[in-house]
Amino acid sequence: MKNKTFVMGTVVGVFIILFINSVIVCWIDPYQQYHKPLKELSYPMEMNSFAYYNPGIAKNYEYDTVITGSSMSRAFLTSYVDQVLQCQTVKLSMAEARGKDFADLFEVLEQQENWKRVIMGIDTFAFKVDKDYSSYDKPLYLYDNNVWNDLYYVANKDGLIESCKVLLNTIRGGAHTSMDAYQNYVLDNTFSREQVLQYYTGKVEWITEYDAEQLRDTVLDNINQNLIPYIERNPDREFIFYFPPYSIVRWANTTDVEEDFACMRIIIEKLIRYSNVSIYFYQGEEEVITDLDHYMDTIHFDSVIANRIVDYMADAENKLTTENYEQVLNDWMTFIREYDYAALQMK
Amino acid sequence: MVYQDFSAQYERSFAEKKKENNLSKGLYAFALGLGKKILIADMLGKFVNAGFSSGYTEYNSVVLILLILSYTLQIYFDFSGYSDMAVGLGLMLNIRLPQNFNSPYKAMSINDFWKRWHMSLTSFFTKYLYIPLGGNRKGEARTYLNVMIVFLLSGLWHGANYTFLLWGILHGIASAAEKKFKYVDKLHAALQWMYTFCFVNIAWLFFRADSISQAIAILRGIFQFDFTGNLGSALSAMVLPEISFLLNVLHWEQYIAFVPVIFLFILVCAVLQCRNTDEKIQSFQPTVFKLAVTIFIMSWCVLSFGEKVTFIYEMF
Repeated sequence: MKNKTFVMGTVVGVFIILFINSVIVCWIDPYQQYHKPLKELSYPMEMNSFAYYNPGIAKNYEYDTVITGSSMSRAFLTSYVDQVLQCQTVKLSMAEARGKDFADLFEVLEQQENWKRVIMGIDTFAFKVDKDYSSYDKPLYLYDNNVWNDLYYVANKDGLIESCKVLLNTIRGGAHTSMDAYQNYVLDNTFSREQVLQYYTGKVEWITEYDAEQLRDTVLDNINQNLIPYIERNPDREFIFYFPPYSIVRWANTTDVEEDFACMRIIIEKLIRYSNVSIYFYQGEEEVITDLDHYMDTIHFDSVIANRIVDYMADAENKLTTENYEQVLNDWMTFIREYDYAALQMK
Repeated sequence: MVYQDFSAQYERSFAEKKKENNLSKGLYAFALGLGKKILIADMLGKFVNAGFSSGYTEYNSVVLILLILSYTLQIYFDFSGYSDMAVGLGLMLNIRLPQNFNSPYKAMSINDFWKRWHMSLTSFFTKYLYIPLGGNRKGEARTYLNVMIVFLLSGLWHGANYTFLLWGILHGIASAAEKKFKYVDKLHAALQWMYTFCFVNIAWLFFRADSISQAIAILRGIFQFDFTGNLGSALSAMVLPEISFLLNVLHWEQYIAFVPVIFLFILVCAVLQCRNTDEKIQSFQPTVFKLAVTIFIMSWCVLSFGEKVTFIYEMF
């Protein structure tokens, strides 16, 4: 073989393989970047690959409502949300997400036209960190509209492996992951009082001292960069924020409750002034947070509670207003401060 | 590579017409180096990084031995992979870079090892440190002192940490002891190799460990002869996603623990049996088979860039 043939053969051969890989990935499109799932194929969407699926769902699905948040938004059944709130919903949860992660998602959403409403769970940990802190390395090449950096997706073996997984799932008669099942931890876990009480080892002392000024600066910096611009740039779209109901056991195990309380107040005071924002507070929903049979650990609730949250939203229950939020927060704080945690194990 | 060697070749590369085979030779060497780095060293690195970050506290004796062996192989495939790529790029520009690795794990003594490992550094230290210090011309004691100085500085050259210093000291002692007592020659060839390979492995442990105490904890773990626990979960970090998928297709998921063990076995056989890249390059003639190998490795490597990150967060 000639030297020239070897060199040209290598270049052409590598190019052909990359091209074939790219064609297969674009055709099956396991992350649904370019089209909706093909009807004849069943796409298994792995729970912990959400950062890869979310932007594709945002770009190519039909919806008018988005549910997002940390894992505290994973138990929602979008079919129930659709039925109760009369909408078409996609769930774009992001486990462990911090403020910056939501901003990255909102950047994708802003480029889509049809959605009218975002329902977003608020966890204080998401905003008590530096405004640029992200919980994980996202594949940002899937989050923009730059075709060239999509090479990381199409000319990549992972895209091919994921495509093959779709084919294998289809051949084996596996189900297509529905939006109800997407990221939903409910099917793989058990929910019971006994399960939750494994995490209860007595109430810890709450730390009352924290740097209030620094907390305020950090939280406001985070919100001002990662939430406010999207709220202000989309006045015709509704932003519904909810504080998810952690079980009462969570507050027995947490030391920085006072700081959390202050953080919630800062977030509420900042967001409540916008006319396109609604805030719901379920942390203090006694009936829910003490019903431990619907939790798998100290915070993660099942779809029964998720459905209940949707019902509450439909009836505008637990909605915060500029007039009532102080009272609601204080009542909640009083409740968890005075709660008889020792009695938890006796019931 | 020292300046005189490089400048002479640099001038010649422009003066001479490109040699017929250098481009394809260079491409072949580059592909082999890329494959060593991306497909082998990086895979081993996943297990090694997990092991040395915190995993070692939970591993049993067998996994700890495999951890040390994995790092021994990782550092070779990583570093010699880079060297092969440099040699390949050099050849494409008609520059012949000197050989940097000559199958070092085939070495039969520590002194032999240093004639085969990172040869450019060894030659640099010999030329600019060992010989100016007097080499072996100033008596026996001074020779051993010079050897120790070279290895101490070689250790420090790799990083300012006691672990590197100890690695240098260990090699220095072994090198000087071999010269003084000449005990290696008295051993059977198989024992010579085993002594050398085991010594190099243990020295690499100190080189890689975050601290000397971590290295000692790993050694202590090995000598507890604990063979309980699951091998698979720790080792599966180095199973390529395409292999996992293949096992899934074949319904062989339960055999996943064997994959890394077989992988390590093949690698050890390869470093002992296969000709190294330099040897392959010397007798290189472009053939359809080598073309297929080059295309296969380069495609696989390019397709492996920017690997998917699997998130470990289950809860939030």
